[in-house]
Amino acid sequence: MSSRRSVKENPLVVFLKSAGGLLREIMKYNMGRVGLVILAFMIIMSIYSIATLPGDFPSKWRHATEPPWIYNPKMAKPEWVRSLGIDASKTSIYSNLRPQESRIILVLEDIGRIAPEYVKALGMKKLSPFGYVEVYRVNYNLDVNDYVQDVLIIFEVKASENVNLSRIKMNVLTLLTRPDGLVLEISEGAFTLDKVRPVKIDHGVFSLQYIDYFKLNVTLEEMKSVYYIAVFGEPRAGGREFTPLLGEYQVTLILSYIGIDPREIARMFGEGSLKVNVEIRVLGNSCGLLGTDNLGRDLFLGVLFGFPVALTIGFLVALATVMIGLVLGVVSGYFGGRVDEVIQRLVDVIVNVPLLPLLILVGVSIQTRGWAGWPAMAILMLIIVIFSWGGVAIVTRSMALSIKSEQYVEAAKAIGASTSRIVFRHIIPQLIPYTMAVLVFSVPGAIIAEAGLSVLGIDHGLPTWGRVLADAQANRGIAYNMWWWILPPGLLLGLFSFAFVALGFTLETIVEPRLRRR
Amino acid sequence: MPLDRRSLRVIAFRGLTLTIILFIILLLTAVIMGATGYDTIILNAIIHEEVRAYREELSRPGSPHTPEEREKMVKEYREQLISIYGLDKPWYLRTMSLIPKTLILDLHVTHDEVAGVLGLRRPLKAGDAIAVALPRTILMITLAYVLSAIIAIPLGPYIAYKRGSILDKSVITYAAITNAFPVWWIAMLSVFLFGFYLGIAPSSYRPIIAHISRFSDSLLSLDIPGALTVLRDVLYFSYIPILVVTFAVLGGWLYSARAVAIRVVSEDYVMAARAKGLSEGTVVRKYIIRVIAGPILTFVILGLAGSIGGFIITETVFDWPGMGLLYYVSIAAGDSPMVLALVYVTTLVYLVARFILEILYVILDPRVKL
Repeated sequence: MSSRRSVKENPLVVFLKSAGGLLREIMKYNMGRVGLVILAFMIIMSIYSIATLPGDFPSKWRHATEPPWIYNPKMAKPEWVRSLGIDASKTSIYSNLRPQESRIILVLEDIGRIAPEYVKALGMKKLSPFGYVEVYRVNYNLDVNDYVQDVLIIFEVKASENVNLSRIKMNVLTLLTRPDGLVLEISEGAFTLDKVRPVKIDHGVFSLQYIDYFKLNVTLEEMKSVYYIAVFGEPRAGGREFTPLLGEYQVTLILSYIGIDPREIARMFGEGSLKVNVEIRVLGNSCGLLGTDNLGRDLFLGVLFGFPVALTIGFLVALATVMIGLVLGVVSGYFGGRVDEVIQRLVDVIVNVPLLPLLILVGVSIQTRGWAGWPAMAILMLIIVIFSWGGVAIVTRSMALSIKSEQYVEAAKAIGASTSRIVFRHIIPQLIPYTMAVLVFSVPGAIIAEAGLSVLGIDHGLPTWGRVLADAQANRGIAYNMWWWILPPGLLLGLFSFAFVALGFTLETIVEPRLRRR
Repeated sequence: MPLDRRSLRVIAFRGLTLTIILFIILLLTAVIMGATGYDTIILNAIIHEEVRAYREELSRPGSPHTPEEREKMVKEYREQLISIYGLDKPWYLRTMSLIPKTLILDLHVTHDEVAGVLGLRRPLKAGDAIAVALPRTILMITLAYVLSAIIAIPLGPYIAYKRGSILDKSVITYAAITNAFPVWWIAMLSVFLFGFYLGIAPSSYRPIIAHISRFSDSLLSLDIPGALTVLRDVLYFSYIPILVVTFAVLGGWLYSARAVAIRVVSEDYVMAARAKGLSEGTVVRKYIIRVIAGPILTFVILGLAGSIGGFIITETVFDWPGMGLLYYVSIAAGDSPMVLALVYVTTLVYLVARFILEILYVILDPRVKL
């Protein structure tokens, strides 16, 4: 805290004349350098966040059980842990695939010519694919001692208006060729093109042949819970214990279009009036820069959105708080009398109000009314501003009091300077250094309070660092085994806060020479 | 030193001001609960539940009433409840009527989950709820404050003395770090690290309820060996929370103790004392600690008074059934009487602590003009 000395010899007043001077002064201190570097990082990340994330990202984040999140692996570790030697299978996304083979098949035996693995897996079944058939293949290398969560096929149909999609039926068949040569049918689906939906590893089609192969003593019901272990693993001698089967896997996707004349379908694909974009996703246990949560949400994106929110909210709330405190403090100190009395009693009350309980109370009301998003956030921040300016007002009042009785202020009054001139030319400029230090100190306050409220379960509906932590807290049992869910948001919160504490310490040292190292 | 009339007037005036502040804060809480519609929603839910129970009771087989009579009775019952809970009156009359009761703590817990979080059942008086929650918060938070004070007070002047040294720099960095990271996140981290990952501490602290009550039972029955065995369980369920809060609080205390001492260390009379050839220990004890005792005392007393309100978020993260968790559950459940009681008690303790300090200032330093 600054004392109420005359600020005439204060170096900061001089430095303020140029922001560059101030920056140079801050850079002289270790703490200041660290603070500036972190702040620069935060600003860059905020810009990146605003540039890359769509405007409706908060609502996307809230709808956790919808695309794109359901296409991600759940509880996946960050991808880079693989380079640390941690066994986590990688997630591979194969998009914009082109079919390796495509032809009209009417004679059942023909499928063997374009997809020999089909015959290997299923023999010559009666209902083998026919019509206009496409075959896609992708390779996936399981290189670490881990299983794969799922193999997901996503379709996107684009057609010109004259194509009647409801008449074209698509049969989907997914085969997996394992490193040991075994071919398995892992999923199956059928729908008309106007109602396409993703296909995942299907527990139901688990071929009995596969279970025979392993001579497993498991029921089909049990198999459903361990299916991915069986698909991507091999049994250890004699038991039901599995170990991952490492090596090159090949996913074969056979799409057969029927319903109308196959030649017609081939023509539509040929001229481009019908397009089916296919994406194959092999979902491993690692994904993205910061992994995913229990619903498959990419934690990096959630955390990324937090950067601009933290900076904007922190800065706005701090600015509003400090400005109100400064103005009321100066008014109180300079004018004195009844105005002073009223403001001081107001300060007495607000500095004693239990702010957090109050915020929780308002937060609960907001939540019961179903308000969410920026308005909810704005109300909470307003409460913080209303009840936080007291401390600043107390200090600026006492500083204004001492400046008021300085000789040069008396002199200015004597030559007839107006009140506003004295306040704006003589008093406020001298309070700026102190105010700036307080401003910097109080930037993290709002976002820390917001994070705390979120962790308590008050949902304002915006993805922030606090919100991500709140989801972890709400899923205690799961999330507390996932360091990548708990660490990054908290570290960022702390880093953000640390930057401003460090800058605040530095500014304080500059403002208050007595704290300077000798 | 006897107090003169002027000092007495000053003290009485401060006392009055603080009482008015307390009253205004209660009023403000009540207004916010009423005006936001917060309590209306909750009271409606209670009435709905009670009416449903009454209707079920009436429609038991063998009831002498006709369906029409029953409907009429249910309707009357509902109106009766509405007037009991004051929903027929505007919110300001209803919530204001709670305030006089708050002042004498004649309030009852109205929600089962509030009693449940403490391991108790309704009917429960608000005062009793606080009496149960408070020792647990004192065990975790006040104890951590005391530990921090014991470490920081002797160390602060020493660090101030060695200004610019590695020790000084590391204390500042430590203070900056603990200032930056919220306590509750350090709590989350410790649950993750010690509870789940290393498995050397509990992952939920709720069972502390049973251990504390067993501990106090054996103490009351003078079963000292029994108490000592239970004490081990109590310690197992509390060492992480105490350490976490101490770790988080200590940085700020060290920094403040240092900051207070720095102003004194560079005073001329300290220089003179050192120049006289007094030993460093004597200088610190007699010339520094004595001078900074006042501000430090303020800091300690206000800190301890503030600590009894509990750490709402940290206690929730630990699932630690103290004042903070009680506070949170009361607010979340919409238990307005309990919320008012908590606001009242915590604010009262804090203001009383301030009042005591102000009396001390007046007694110790007659120059003080308030």
